[in-house]
Amino acid sequence: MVDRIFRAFCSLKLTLANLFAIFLAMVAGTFVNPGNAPLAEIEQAFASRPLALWSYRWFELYDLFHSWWFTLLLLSLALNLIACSIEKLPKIHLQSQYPEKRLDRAGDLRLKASGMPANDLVPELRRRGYAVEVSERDGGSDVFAERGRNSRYGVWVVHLSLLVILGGGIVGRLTAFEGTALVSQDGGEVESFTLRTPDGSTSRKRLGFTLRCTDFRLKQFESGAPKAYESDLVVLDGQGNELKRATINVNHPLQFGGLTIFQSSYQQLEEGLRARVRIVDSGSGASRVLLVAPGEKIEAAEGLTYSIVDHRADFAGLGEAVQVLREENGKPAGKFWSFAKAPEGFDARNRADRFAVSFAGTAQLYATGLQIARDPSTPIIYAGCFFLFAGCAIAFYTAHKRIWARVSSSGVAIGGAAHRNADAFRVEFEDICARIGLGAGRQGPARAA
Amino acid sequence: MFEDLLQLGVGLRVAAVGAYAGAFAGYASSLGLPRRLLKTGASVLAWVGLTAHSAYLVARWFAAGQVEILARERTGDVLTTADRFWYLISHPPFTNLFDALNFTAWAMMLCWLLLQRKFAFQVLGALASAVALVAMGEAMLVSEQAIEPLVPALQSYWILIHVAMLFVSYALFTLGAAAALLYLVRSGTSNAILGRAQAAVVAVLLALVGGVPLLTGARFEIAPSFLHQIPSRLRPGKFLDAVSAVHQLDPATGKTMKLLLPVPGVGPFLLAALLLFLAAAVVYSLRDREKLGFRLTLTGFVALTFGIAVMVAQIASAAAVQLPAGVQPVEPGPYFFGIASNFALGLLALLWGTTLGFLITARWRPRIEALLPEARRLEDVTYRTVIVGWPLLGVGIVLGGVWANEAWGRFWGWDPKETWALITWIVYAGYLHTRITLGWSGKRTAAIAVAAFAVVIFTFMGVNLGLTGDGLHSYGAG
Repeated sequence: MVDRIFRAFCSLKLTLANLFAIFLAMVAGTFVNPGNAPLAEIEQAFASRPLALWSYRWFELYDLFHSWWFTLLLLSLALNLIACSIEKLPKIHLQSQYPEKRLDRAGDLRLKASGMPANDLVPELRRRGYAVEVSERDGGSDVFAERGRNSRYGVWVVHLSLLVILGGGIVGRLTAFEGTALVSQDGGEVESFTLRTPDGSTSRKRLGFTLRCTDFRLKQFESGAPKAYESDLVVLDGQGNELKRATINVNHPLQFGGLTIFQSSYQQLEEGLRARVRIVDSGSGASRVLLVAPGEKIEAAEGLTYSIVDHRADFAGLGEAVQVLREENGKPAGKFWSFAKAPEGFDARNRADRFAVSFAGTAQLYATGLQIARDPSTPIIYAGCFFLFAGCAIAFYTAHKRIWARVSSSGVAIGGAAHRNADAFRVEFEDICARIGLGAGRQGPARAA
Repeated sequence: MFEDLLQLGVGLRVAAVGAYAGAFAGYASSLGLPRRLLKTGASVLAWVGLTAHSAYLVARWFAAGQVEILARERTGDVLTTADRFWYLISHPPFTNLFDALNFTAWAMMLCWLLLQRKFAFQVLGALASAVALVAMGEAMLVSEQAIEPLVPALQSYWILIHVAMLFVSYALFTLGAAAALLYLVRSGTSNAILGRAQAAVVAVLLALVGGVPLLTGARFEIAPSFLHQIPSRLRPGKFLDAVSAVHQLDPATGKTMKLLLPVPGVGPFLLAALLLFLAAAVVYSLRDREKLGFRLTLTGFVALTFGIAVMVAQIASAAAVQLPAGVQPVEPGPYFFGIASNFALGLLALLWGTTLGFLITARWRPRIEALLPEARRLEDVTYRTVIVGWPLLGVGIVLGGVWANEAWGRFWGWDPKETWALITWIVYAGYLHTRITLGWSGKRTAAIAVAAFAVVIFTFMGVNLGLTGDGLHSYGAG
C-alpha cells in the first residue's frame, strides 16, 4: 500500500498534472480578488448571489493563495518532489559512482570511431582534464575516461532546493505575520499593532516594546511629486529607557527585536493643525523646534511655560500669527504675538526674555503609517533559492562525459557519450579523434550515428 | 550639462534607429539574395546600431541621474559625494514606458547579436531588428518622455538589477519563440494548424485588449490625456509641457478614476477583425477549407490594419478630443488621445506582425521553407535561448523577492506581476522537463515554446494593461 502511494507520487504524469493544477490556480488567483478586498466587502458585493458568496467562503477565494486547497496542491507537489528525490538518488549515485568501464558493454553509443591512431589517446584525454583508467585484458587494454561525474547530482539538487523553498513557505505560513500601526508624529507612542488577516478581521498584537514617533516628514520635489517619506522613531523599553533611535524611509526599514518596521503610508490627523514653534535659549544658544497643539504648555525651564492661546490666519495684513501666553509658576506673566513672516520676534518683551519663542507657521499634523512584519522563513527561502540556482547551473551547464576505448594491436576503437548537451560533446569527440590521428586517413571517420 | 547629454542622446537614438533599419533591410534582402556583402553589412550595421543605442542609454541614464541630483538640491538637500554618486546612477533607463520600450529594443538586439555568433540565421536577425524598430517607433508615440525623479518606492539599488535581468530574459524568450515558430514552419506543420492557432490567439487577445466595450458596443477605449505646464526644475521661471492622463470623479465611491473614452472609428474595425479571426479559426479546423480560412484571416488582417492605422493617426495627430455629454473630467482641457493605453498598442502591433508573418508564410510556403535554416538548428536556438533566459528569469524573480523583503518585509506577496512571472518560470520549467526528462523533441516542444511565449506576453503586457489586479508593478501602465 505504502509502496503504491510512493509509486503514484513518483510518476512524472502526476507531477505534471499537479504543476498544471497549480498553474491554473495561480492564473485564477490573479483574477478572483485582484484588489485584495477583505471578506466583509465581498460579502456585501455578493449579498444577492448566495452561490458565489458560498464558493468565495468555502474555497477561500478572497485569499486564494492561502486557501486550504491551494496549500493542499503545494503539499502534493512537495510529496512528488520527495518521492522523486528518494527514487532518483540511488540511480544517480549508481550512474555517477559506478559507471560501466568497458567499451563493449557501454550500450548503444552515438559517437564511435575506430582505426589506427597516430598519437596516444591517454595523454590527450588527460590533457583535457579527463580522469583516465587503463586496465589490461586479453592482450589489449580497456581505457575509460570521464569528466564531470557529479553533474548528475544537479537535477537532484534542484528538486531538493524546491522542497526547501516549499518548506520555507510552510514555515512562513505558520510563523510569519504582518500588521500596521498609525503613530502620531508629535511624540505618539504605540505598544501594539493591528494584525492583518485576509478575511478582514483584525486583532491587536503586542510589540514587546514601545515605539515612539518624534517626527514625520513628507518631502516633495518642486513639482509636488513625492521625494521621500521619513519617520524619526525611538524604541523604548517598559521603563521608558531609550533602546534605539532611527530614521526610516521607504526601502530603508528599522530592524528591532526580530521585527522589521517599514514606512508604508501616512495619514493626516483629524485634530488638525499644529504650530511649529522654535525656542532659543539665549543663555546657552540651544534651540529646538516643537509642534504644539493649541493650549498645550511648553515647559522652557523650571516653572516657566509658554502656550499658544490664539491664532490668526492673517493679522492685520502682516500674515499668519499666533498669540503666546507666558506663565511663571502657573500665573500669567505676559502675552505676545509672534509672526510667521518675521519669526525673529515682534514683541520687545519676548526678545528681552531668556527664551526667544518664535512661530514658524502652522503645520498639518500627520500620523506615520508603519508596517510591522516578521517572517522567519526568509533565510530558509534564500538558502533554497541559492541551491536552486547552483543546482540549475550544474544541471544545465555541465555534463557527465565518458569516453571508452579498446586498444589492441589491430588499432583502437573509441566511443563516447555525454548525458547532456550531446552536440557540444560531439564537437569535442571529433576533435579528440582528429588529434590522435583517427579519421585523418579516412579509415574510420568519427561521425554521429 | 544634463540637457547637453539629452541632446546628444536624441542624436544617438536617431543613429541607432537608422542603423537598425539598415540592418533590417540587409538581413531581409540577404534572405532572397545570398550575398556575403549583404550579410556582413547587416551585421556591421546591427553592431553600429547597438553601440549607438548603448551610448544613448548611458547618456539618458546619467542625464536622469543629474535630474535626480538637481531636483534634490533645488529643494534644499545637501548631498555628500557618496550621495551624489548614488543619485547619479540611481535612475536607470527603464523606469517609465518610453525608456522601457527603448530598453526592450536594446535587449532584443543585444541578445540577437550574441546569438548570431553561433547561429547566424538572417531570418532571425530580420525579426529581431523588426521588433526593435517597432518598439522604438512605439516609444516615439509615448507622450510622457521627460525624465521625472523616481517615486520613493523605486529609490533602491535593486531596481538596477531586478528589472534589467527580466527584460533580457524576455528578449531571449522572444527570440526563442520566433525560432520555434520558424521550426514549425520548416518542419512541415500544416498551414491549417498554424492558421487555426494564429487566428484563435489573435481573436482571444483582441477580446482581452478590447474588453467588454469592444465586445458589446464595438468601442475601443483608451485614456485621453491633457496638456499642462509644470515649472522647470532647472531653469527658474521656465515652464515645461507635461502630459498626464485625465481623471474623472466616480460618483459611487468618490474616488478619482482614469477616464476612458472610445477612439472614434477604431472599435468597428477591431470588432470586425475579431469576428473574422474567430471565423478563420473555426474554418481552419474544418477539413479542406484552407483557402477560405486564408481569405478570412487576410480580411481580418486588413480590418486590424485599418483599426491600428486609425488609432495611430489619432494618437500622432494630437487633435482635440470631443468629450461626450455628461463627462466632467477633474483636469482642465483641451484633451487629446495620448498613448496611455500603450501596452494595448504594443499588443496590437505584435498581433499585426505575427499575422502578417503567417499570411506571408501560408501564401509562399515552399519558398519560405527553402529560405529557412535546418530544422534541428532552429530547435537548438529555442533550447539555447530558454536555457539562458530561464535562470535569468528565476534570478530576476528572486532578486525582486529580496527587494520586496527589504522594502516590505515579505519575500513573496502573490502580487499579480510576480505571480505571472512565476507562472512564466513554471511554464518554461515544463518546457525543459519535456525536453530533458521526457526526451520530447520536435513539434511538440516547439509548440510549448510558442505557448510559453504567450504567457511571457501576458506577464509583460497583460498585467500592466489592468486585466488583473493593480498590484505593485502598475507604475508602468501610463
